[in-house]
Amino acid sequence: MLAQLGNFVLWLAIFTSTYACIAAIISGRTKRLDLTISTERAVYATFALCLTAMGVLEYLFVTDSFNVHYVATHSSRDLATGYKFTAVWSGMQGSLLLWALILSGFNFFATLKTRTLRGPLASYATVIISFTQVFFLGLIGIHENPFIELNFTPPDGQGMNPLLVHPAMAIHPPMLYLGYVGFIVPYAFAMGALLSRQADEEWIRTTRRWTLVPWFFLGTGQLLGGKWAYVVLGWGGYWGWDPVENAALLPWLTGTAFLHSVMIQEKKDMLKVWNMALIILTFTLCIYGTFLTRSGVVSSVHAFAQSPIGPWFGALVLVIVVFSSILLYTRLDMLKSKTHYESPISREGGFLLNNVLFLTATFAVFWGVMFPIISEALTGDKITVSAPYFNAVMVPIGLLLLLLTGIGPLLAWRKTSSQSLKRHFAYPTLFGLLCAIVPAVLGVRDIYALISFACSGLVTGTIVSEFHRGALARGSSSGESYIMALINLTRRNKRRYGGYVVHFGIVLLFIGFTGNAFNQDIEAELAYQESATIGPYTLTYEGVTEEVKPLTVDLTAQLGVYKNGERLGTMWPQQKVYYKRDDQQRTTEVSIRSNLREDLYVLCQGFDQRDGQEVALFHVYVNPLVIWVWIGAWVITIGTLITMLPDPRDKARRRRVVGLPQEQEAVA
Amino acid sequence: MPAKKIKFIAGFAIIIVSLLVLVVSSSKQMSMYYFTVTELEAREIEFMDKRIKLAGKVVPGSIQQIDGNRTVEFLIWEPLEKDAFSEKRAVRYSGIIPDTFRDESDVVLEGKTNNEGIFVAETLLAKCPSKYESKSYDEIKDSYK
Repeated sequence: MLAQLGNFVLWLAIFTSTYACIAAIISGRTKRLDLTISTERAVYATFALCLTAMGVLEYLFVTDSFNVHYVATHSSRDLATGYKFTAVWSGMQGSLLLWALILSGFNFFATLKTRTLRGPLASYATVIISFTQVFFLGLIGIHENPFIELNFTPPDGQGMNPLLVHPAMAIHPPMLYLGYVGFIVPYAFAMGALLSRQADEEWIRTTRRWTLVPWFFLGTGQLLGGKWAYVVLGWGGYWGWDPVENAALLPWLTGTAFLHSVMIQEKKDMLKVWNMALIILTFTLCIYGTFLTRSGVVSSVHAFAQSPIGPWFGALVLVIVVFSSILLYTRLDMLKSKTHYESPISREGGFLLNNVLFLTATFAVFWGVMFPIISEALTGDKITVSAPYFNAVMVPIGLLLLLLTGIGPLLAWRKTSSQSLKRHFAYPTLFGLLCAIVPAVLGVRDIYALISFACSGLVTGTIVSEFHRGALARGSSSGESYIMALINLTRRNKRRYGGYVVHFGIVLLFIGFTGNAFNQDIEAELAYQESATIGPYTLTYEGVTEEVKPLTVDLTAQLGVYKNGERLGTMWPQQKVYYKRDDQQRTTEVSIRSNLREDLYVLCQGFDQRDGQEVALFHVYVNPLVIWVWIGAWVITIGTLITMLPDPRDKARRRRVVGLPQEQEAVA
Repeated sequence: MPAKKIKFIAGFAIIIVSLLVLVVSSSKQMSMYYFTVTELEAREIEFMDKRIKLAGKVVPGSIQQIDGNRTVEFLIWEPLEKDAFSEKRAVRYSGIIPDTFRDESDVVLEGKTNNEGIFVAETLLAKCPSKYESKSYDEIKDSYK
């Protein structure tokens, strides 16, 4: 009964979004106010309907309605209620519905926020988003309907895969979707600008925050996925250059390039065509990523269902590419730059280099993902590249980008004098060198690691000096204390100083990545009270306990951790056997001792007999600096929040925009 | 065209070209052939003792643990048509055994064929059968009979 209601609501949403799409086309052409308002209402209704459909599906999950096919295959009675809630997006149908819901949410908020900008631009943007909405809802309704009922009610569902029962995995998909889906807003407004021939900077100003939001979620969503892999999958790492990871990285790379290069357009009125191309590319890659993961074109350890909807996404990618390129080509005349680039040692030059590096990184990743397909097409043999290739290419590009993170923001617009270079970079460069020399003296020989430390030091130095000089200048003119000056400085210019905080987070990420150069691991087979040594640590096996729980049998090994003969604590790696499942799936629960210096990461791989004595098998890793990756993620979060806080100057600007004559004409 | 603009374009062209050379040359150096069980069979001799990737499905009941839990020997095959499979190939692997590895898992291995004809894998990626996939209507019905 409820499932039928869900299905009905889903089809209503298909109807309202189709209406919104058509009405928006007409109101874009005719500038009719009544139709524009009617379109907006259809957009609001679509959001409400998607929300209802999701609510119904959530209710079906929480109430164990196993007469619904999707619930029966993705949940079970014994699942904790919180995870029943998140089990909704553990499968294809539910995750697509979540996609559609987030999309309708973005459409809702974008429409609500831009009501003051009614006109052809906004109308055409609505067309683009609503069209995508129809596409997704249609796919769900026809191919992947989560509301299909069985003609009997199974006593219990088949449960969620135990590997997915983890907090990071519960929020990782929604965050990634917020990223993937959110880039549609700047894309739609860019296309709206071209369609309505209002290709000035308005679309960029309108969508600046709408770009930061998906950029932030796509990035943190990936880090959460990494965290999940690190803690749950138990292979000692957090990033494996798997095609699915790469698929999410691609739009993030181009999106980051876009975030930076729109600043030149805002300030200098340059790179208009380039920015259009970047946002088109970014959104295309978002859909392309969905296509990759759903179609089975490339093989991946992420076992997403291969489904008949793969080709549909392929078709959507094609439609976006063809439509956007033709549109861009026909509007090229409107995108002439008014100013020109003057010197390579300038802010513009820095931004350009930033874009070149990000795009090369995108190409490198894309090339790696597509290599098997390209090689098969060209030579008939499937040839793959994996982690070594990605590391070989991405490490140098990443380090160049890191260096640029420090240099770029301090270069002056147009042209930077050598005096200013000396003044800005003397101390940071010294500090950077120190950051490489000290570890080198202490015995670090990995050249990339040393370069990374040097760059990290330099970037940190420039960021600190920017805050410091800003605060001093402000303090001396206003008489504020140093701390107050620092706070007010940031408040007065949130984009700039928030950006610095994000950059500092990136530095921390790189410090964490650099730790990979020093990873150690050993395997050990320990009998009772036997010890193994790795790095500074000695681990002593102190026995195993067996506990029968409702779902699992937990085998918990106990290890005493010693350093320099002193006991630091105890670790409990586990093996869980899901004995009620047909497949007797087991999961390995990692035990991690983390500090700022390194992670001690222990897996228990099982138990065995040796000479009549029971032994436990361990895999132990010492992963230096990993924690800085997660700290970096938090710093990036804080920095992004600072840049997104409302800025009084933005409001004033918006008021000015509303007063534009073309807008009045549109509303009239 | 002003000299400045030419210099500028040339500068960026050099950067871009050198980065692309890095990408393409690394991909050539670090690439690896990817075969299914039948494809490897067809080119057995050519790829004897060469590092490749090999994909297949674990033959049910073939997994044997030797030397504690650390080394496994198993057979893989390739599903051809409905209920028909290719020849089996013996695999030996030492290292971390992923939680998803079991009968009928799809595996991707990286390693070499030794002179006994056993594929010695150094890495093992496994995805368990129908991990996130919904079972068909009939399969569900069967499982509750």
